[in-house]
Amino acid sequence: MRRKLAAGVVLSLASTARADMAALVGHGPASIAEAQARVARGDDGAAARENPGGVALGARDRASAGVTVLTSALTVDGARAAIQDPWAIVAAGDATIPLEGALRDRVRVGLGLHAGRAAARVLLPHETEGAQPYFANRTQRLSVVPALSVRPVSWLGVGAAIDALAGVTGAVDASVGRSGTPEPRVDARAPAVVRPILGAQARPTRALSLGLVYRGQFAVPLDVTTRADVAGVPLEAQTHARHALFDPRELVAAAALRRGALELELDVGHHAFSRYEGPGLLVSATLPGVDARTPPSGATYRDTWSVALGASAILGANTLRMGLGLETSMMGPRQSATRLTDGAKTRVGAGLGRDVLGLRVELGASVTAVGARTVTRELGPGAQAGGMLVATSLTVGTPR
Amino acid sequence: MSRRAAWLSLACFALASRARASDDALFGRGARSGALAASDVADAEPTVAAFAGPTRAAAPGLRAQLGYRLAHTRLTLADAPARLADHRGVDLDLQLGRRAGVLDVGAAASMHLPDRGVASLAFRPRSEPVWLRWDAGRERASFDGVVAVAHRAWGVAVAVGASVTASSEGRGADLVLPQDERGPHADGAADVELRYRVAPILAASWTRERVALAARFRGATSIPVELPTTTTVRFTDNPLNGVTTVRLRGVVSYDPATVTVASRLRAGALSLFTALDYARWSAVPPLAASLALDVKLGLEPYVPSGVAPRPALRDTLTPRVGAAYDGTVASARVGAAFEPSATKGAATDVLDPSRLVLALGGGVRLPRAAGVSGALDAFGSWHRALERRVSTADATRPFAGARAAGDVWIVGASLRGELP
Amino acid sequence: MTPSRLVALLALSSACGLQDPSPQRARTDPGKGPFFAVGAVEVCEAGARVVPIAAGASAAGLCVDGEPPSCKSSGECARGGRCVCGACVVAACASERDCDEGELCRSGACARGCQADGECAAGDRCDKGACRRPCGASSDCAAGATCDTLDGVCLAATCELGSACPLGRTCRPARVPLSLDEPEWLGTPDDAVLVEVVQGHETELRRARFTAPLRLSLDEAPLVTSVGAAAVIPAAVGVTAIVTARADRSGLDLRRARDALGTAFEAPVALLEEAGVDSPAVAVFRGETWLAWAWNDAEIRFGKLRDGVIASAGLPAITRADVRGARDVSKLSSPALLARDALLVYVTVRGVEGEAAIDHGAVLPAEPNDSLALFATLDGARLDAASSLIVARRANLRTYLGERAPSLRVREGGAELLFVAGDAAGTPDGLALLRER
Repeated sequence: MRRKLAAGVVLSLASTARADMAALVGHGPASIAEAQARVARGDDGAAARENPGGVALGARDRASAGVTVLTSALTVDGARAAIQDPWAIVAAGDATIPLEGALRDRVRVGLGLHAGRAAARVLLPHETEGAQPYFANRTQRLSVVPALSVRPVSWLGVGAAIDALAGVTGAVDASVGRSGTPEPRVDARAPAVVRPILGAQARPTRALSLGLVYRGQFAVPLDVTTRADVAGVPLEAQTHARHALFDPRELVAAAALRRGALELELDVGHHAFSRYEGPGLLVSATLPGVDARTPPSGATYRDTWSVALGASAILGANTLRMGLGLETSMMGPRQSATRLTDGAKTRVGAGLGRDVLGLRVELGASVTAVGARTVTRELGPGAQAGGMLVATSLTVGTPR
Repeated sequence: MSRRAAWLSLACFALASRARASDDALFGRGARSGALAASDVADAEPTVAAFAGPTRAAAPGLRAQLGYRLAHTRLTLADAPARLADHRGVDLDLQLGRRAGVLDVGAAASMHLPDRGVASLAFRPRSEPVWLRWDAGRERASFDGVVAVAHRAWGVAVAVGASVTASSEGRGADLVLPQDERGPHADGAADVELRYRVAPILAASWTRERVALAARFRGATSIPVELPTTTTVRFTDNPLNGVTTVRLRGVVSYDPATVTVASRLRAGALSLFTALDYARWSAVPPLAASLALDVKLGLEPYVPSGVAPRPALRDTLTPRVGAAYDGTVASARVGAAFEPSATKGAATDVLDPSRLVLALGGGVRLPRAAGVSGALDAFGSWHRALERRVSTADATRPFAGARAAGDVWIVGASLRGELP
Repeated sequence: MTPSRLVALLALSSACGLQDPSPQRARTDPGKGPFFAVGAVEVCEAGARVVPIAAGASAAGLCVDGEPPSCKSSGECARGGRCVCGACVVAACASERDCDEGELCRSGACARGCQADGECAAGDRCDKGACRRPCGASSDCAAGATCDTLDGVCLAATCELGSACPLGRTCRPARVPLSLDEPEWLGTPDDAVLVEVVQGHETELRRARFTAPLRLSLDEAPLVTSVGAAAVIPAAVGVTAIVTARADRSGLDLRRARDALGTAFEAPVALLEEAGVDSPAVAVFRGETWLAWAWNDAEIRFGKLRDGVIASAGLPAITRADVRGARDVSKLSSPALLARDALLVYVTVRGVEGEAAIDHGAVLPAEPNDSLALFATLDGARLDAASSLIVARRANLRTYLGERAPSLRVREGGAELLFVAGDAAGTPDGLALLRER
C-alpha cells in the first residue's frame, strides 16, 4: 500500500519538490490559494506561522491535516530545476486553554506543522552550479511552530510563536591513534536554532481587520572542521555555512475588509534578504604547503518587497478563495563567482473549501511565475533562469 | 501477518535497532520521579506519562509541567578527577485525558532539551575508555509521545507510543581544491540529512485503590551518524592530487531497550513503589566511530584501517524502591536503586562501575489560580559509583589496573499546572 | 609543492603524521599514547646550532660585527634574521638538512624556495628560486650577512672558525657537527637531560638544559667520557645515581650523584659484567629499582637493583619474535622504562611496519626503519606486548624516518617523549619531542 501511494505521488508530480514550503508558498490550502494574504484574518492553527496574534481571536477548537506538494517548472540555463522532497504533511490546530476567571476564553494556543521525509536536509551546492536561491534548498526541513496568543481586549489578539531546528557545529579528528590505525575523535554539537514570530491582529469594527507580524531570521549553521591523516600527511578542511535553510527576517502589515460573505485583504511585506550570506559552502583547506579557501562569492542579495491581495467568499457550504501576489527579486544582476539568479515573482492562487461528510475539506493551489533573468559574471559563464512553481494543498479537518 | 506476529516483529526490530536514551534514563522524569529513584512506573504523575508510566496518559484532565535538572559528576579514574561536564537541561511535559463512556483516553508528550543544544555528537578514539552513562556525548534532546486508553471499572490500561530521535545521513561534504586562473582555491558542496528514527513504547497496567501493577517496554534509542567527506585535489605538481574519501560511521547516545515491571501499594496517604528494570546492554553498538579512508592519489600510499569493536557488555537488572507521603498541602518522597555495572571483568573500553542511588524530594500544592491547580516539586539524588578496578588481559591497554569510582549529584525542580 | 618539499615537511613534523587533537579533552593513561608531534629540538653549543654529522660537514661560523641581538623567537628578529640558539642571525647551512621544512640552502643560508615575489615574506624578493632580503648596504642585512651589491640581496657571510673576517668583523660559531644519541631526562627541576655525544672516535656524556620550549643548550664540559648511554636512578627530586654503559659494551657501571641536579658523579662501581650490554634503562616500580638493557641488539633483558648488584627480575627477556606490528625485525635496542599502574617498557625496533605503495603502477616496497614498541607488566612476572607499534611511521611514501632511543617523563596532561630522529638507515639526525594531549 505504501509503495502504491508513493508511486502514485511520484507519477502525479513528475517532478521533485521538497518539504516545509510554508514559508515559501503558504501554510495549507487557504494560505496558498490566497497568496499568503491572511495576516489580518487568519485565526486558526496556520496563523501560528502567519500571525500568532490571530490565534487569540479564533473561537473554536479546530484541527486539520493533509498534504502539500510542489511541482517545479523552474528553469536554470534552459534545464528544469528540480526541487528536493516533493511533498510535506501539513497539519494545524488551535484551541482555547480552559482557564477560569479573568483569563476565561482569553488564552489560546495554535500549532502549525510541516513534516517531510526527513527532519532536515541541508543541501549546499558547488559555486559552479546554477540555481535559483529563492526556491532551491531553503525549505526541506521539519517545521513545528507552536504559538501562544492572548486577547487582552475583545478586538485585539497578540501572540508569539517559535520555529525551531538545530544546526551542526564541531570538529572531526581522524588522526592515527594508539592502535596504529585512524581513531576518529568527534566533538560536534547540534545547537538549537530558533526563529521568533511575533504578531498582533485587531478587529476594531466588524468590517475592518488589521494585522502586523514580525518573523525573525531563520538559518541553520553548518560548521565542521575535519582533520584527517592520510598516509602521514595531515589534511585539514573547514567547512562553513551560516545560512543553510534560510528564511529572511520579515515584517508584514495587512488590512482586510469584510462585507457580508466577502472578505478582501491586502498585505505588504518587507523581507531582509540583504542579510543572506548565500547558499554556498565556504571551504578553507590546509594541505602541506598549500592553503586554499573559497573566494568571496560577490553575490549581491537585496531586500525584497511583496504585495499580496487575498479574497474569500462564502457561497452556501462552499468557500471560494483567490489570491494575487507580487515580490521583487532578491538578487542584483551582476556577480563575480556564483551562478545564482532570481527574478521578480508573480503569484496567482485559487481554492475551494467545502463541508463533506461532516468534515471540512480544503483545496488550494497557486502558480508562481518567475521573471526571466540573465546574470553575467566577471569570470566564467553566466546563468539564465525563470519558470514557474506550482503549489497544491489538500487538507481535511474539523467542520467549519 | 497476525497482530501478535506484528507486535513481535516490532519488538524485535526495536531490540535490534541502535537507539539510545537521554538523561531520563539516568534521573527519572520530573521531580517526583527523581525523588522516587524512578520507581514510580506503576503510578507515575500523568504529566510525565510519556516517559515514566505510559498508561497514566489516560488520566482525565489537562496538565503541563516545566522542569529543570542538573547532574554534577565527581568521578575519578586512576585516582585523578575525570572532569566530566555537567548534564543539565529543561523538561517540558504535556498530558491531556478525556472520559469517553466507560473508558478514559488520553495522550502525553515529553520533551527534554539540554542546555548545550539538541544533541552532542561526540566520539572518542577507540583506545580511550568511555563513561557510558556520564560522558557529555550522551546528552541529547528527547521526544516521547504516547496514547493510552483505560477501562475505569476494570482498572486496566494500555498505552502505545514512540520515542523519536534522528539519524545523520546524506552524501556529506564534497570538497574540490582546484588551481586555475584564480590560483589555488576551494569549493565545496554539502548534503546532510537528519532522518527520523522511532523506537516503540508499550505499556500495560492494572490499578486498584490500594494496588497497582504495571509493565513497560521502551525500545532502544540512538543517533546513527554517517559523515563522508570527499576531497578532490587538483593542484599543480602536488603529490596529493587525486581523491580522498574519509567516511566516518558510528552510533552516539545509545540507550538500551528496557523492560520494567513495577508495583505500587497504597495505605492512606502513604504509597510504596517498587520497580525492576531489565536493560539490554548486550546489544550495545560500537562506542567509537569507524573510519574508512579511500585514497586515490597519484601516489597511492598504504593506509592502515581499523574497525571499532563492540564493547562486551552484559544485560543488567536494576531494582528500585520508593515511598511517598502525599498530604493535602505537601508531599515527601524517598527512593533508592542499585544499578549493577554492565561491564564485564576484563573490559577497559567502558568504565562505569555499579551505582547505588539514594534520592529525596518533596513538593507543595500551590493555591488554585484561574482554574489551574498547581504544584511545585524538587528533588536531589546521590549516585555513588562503587569502586571498580579496571583489569585486563593486556597491561599495555590504557588504564589497565586503574581504579574507577566517584559520585554524581543530581538536583531538579518542576512546576506543574493542572486543569480538570 | 614538490615531492622533495613534502618529504622535508614530513621529516620535520616528526612521527606518525601527527597533528593537533580536537577540542575534546583526551583521556590518556600517561605513557600509552597516542603521541603528537611537538617538533624538532634545536640543540645548541656555545651559541652555535648543533647539526648532524654528514659527509663533508664541518664547523662553520658567520662573520658578525659585534654580538648579535638576543632573542626567543624569530618574530623578534629584524632584517630577515632568524632566532638561532638565542641570537638573531642568518640561518647558516651546509645543506637542506640544516634548514626548516620547505627551505633551500642557498649560498650558505636557509631560504624559502619560490617562483614569484608573492611567495616570499613581506619585504623579501624571489631571486633565482629563493627568497632573498633586498639591500643597498650590509647594514640592511641581518647579523652574519653582507649585501651583495651586484644583485642587491643579502648573502650569508660564512667563515671558517679561527679565520679572520673582512672589515674588522669576527667569526662567530654558527654550526657544530655533532652526533647526539640516547637522551635521558634527569628529572631535575631545571629540565636537564643527559645526552650521549659522539665527536670523531670519542663518546661522552653531556648535560644539557632546555632554555626554551624546543631549545636544548649543551654544557660545554662533559660529565663522563668514554662511555655509552646512561640511565638515571631518580630521587624524589633529581637524581641519586646513573647507570652507564661502557663504550666497548662490556658491562654496566653505577655512578652515584654528588648532587641532586646531577652535575657531577662519583667513580664507577661495576654493576654488570657481561659482553654485548648496552643502553640501560631504570625505573622504580612498586618500591623496587628495575633495570632493562639491550643485549647484542637481539634482546631486551631485565634485572632488579639490590644492594648495588643486579638480581634476576623474574621477567622474561624481550626477543625479536615478541614484537607485534612490525615484521622482518632485525634489531632491538635502546629500551626506556616508565613506572605507572603498570611498568611500561619502550623498545627501539628496527623492522618493517608499512605496506607497499603504488606509484603509477610501480610497487614501492616498504623499507625498514626504527620505531618504538611498547611492552608492559602489571605484576612483574608476565609481559604483554602492545598489538601495534606505539610510535611509528606507517605511511609508505618512501619518506621513512626513524624514531629511536626514547626517554619519557610524565607531565600534567600526559607524557613527553624525547627521542632521536634518524634517517632511513638509522643514522641520528637530531632530537625531537612528542607529547600526549
